Amino acid sequence: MEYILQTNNLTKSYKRKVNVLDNVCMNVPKGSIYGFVGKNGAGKTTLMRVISGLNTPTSGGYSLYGTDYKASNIMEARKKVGAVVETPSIYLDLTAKENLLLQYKLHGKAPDELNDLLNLVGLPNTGKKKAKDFSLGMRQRLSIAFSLISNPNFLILDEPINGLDPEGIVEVRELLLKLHSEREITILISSHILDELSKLATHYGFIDGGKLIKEMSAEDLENACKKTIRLTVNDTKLFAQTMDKLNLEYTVISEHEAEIYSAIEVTPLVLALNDNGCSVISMTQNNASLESYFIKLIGGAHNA
Amino acid sequence: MRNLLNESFSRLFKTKSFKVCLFINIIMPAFMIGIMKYLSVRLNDEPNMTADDNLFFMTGMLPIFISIGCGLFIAKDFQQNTVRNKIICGYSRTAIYMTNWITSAFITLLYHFASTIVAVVLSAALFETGELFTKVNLYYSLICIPVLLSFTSITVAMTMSIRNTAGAIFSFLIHELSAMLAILTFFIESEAFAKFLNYFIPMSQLSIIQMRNYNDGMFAIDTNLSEIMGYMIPKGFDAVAIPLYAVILIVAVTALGIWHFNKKDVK
Repeated sequence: MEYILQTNNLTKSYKRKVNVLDNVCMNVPKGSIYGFVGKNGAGKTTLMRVISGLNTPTSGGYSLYGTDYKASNIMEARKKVGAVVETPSIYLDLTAKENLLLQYKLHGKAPDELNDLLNLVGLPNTGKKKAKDFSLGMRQRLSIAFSLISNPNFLILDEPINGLDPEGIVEVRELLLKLHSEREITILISSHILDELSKLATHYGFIDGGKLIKEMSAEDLENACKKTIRLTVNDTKLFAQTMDKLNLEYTVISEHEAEIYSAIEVTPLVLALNDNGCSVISMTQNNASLESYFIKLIGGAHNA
Repeated sequence: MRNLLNESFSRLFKTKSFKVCLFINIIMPAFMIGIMKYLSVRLNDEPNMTADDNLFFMTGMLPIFISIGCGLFIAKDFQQNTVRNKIICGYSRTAIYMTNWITSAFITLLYHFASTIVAVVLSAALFETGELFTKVNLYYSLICIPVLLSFTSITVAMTMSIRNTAGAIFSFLIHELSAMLAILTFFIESEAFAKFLNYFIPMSQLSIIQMRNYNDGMFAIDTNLSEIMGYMIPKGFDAVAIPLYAVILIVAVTALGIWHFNKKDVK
């Protein structure tokens, strides 16, 4: 698999403080939407700041497009990266157009696509309105427009839907999905709104206390979060036979306990088990979400 | 860096504080010279002002405008976090620092020449040309540039280290502090050290330039005032010391500023 970003034991610490990032080894596959999940202060923003070049690692390192961050040509690799880290970085006393014009100058490009870009981020009619009068959502979208000027292959977005109203959230989500599918941009996105993230991400990274706890694909996560029915039965061998007949996904946990991963009507299931001589003693249904999976994961990390 | 400069200058001409300071630098000498003309007419006084007297009319006040004009311009980039965009774009911090230095140098020289041209042209029109085109004036006009740029370098370094409006304010305080340090030279017994300080401290350098007509050293201009003003300027004027020390200060402060900016994380 080809990776756009790889971190190698990346550590960042500040004076007299513990490691904000602790030996993070992260791999962002090319073409993915990488959802970066973590609590407040877990180290998400710090990692994004480090890979954007705003902060320098205390130890370890990272590579962008296979170029080490200390290499002389890292600046070239950065030119293919767009980033919105923390608050939108825009000139508040200028209009959206003026802001974008300056950004075009910074990239040394003619502003040929300026209006298209404003349309793309949903800011076509802001006219002479200064950015200081924009809502947070508008500022956020203008920042995203900034990051798209260089036609990046890799977009780093730190909490891009933070503070947006539901309509704004949908707009940004659709924009990101569009960028991912039409321009094939790899996106690293962090968000507190895990439900929203689950609508976007193809890969996940879970961070807590500066440590990357787990990386997994959306498929793996889906399997981990699937609706599960936990049963206590008199005989798991008979249970397994029945499940195989019904072609259902299951796991035998112990002599009397098992889990079914498929969504299924409870009554026919119990009847089928009974017909095969397997008695159901108890049954509970779990509906794990990304949120509950994350909490479980962090709980596990804290208990470890 | 060309793109950085292009962006920086485009933004400069949209910056209010820059335009307000430029306006003051133009209007203030015009207003003051106009008042003097009005008073001399009203009092039937013999005008004793010539254009060459006003060659450095605003020079003493320029450190304030450098702190405001350059300091606030740079500080805004940090306050609105737009400096991040430049780093994310792939520009080195040294390039970002030097862009701010070049833009600030432009602001400084623009303020200086704008106020000087207004003061000289207006006083020549309203009074007399005087000894404007002399070797002395040419020399002092030239050495004034590195001296002003040393103030600029301090302002850029302070603002890019503190990274907000406080940087502009602190740089102004440093300029004022350097004026106070110049006073300390009265209490220094070693004549050589006192002379060195007078030549080295930027505010003291500006005083020497402004008091050029009373200097009894290099150009041997003899006036009765030279004794009175003598305490403000060193005896035996050294033609090389001021520009040399100013350039040393510019290089040292800029190198220190770049080192610090490269070392620290950007918010």
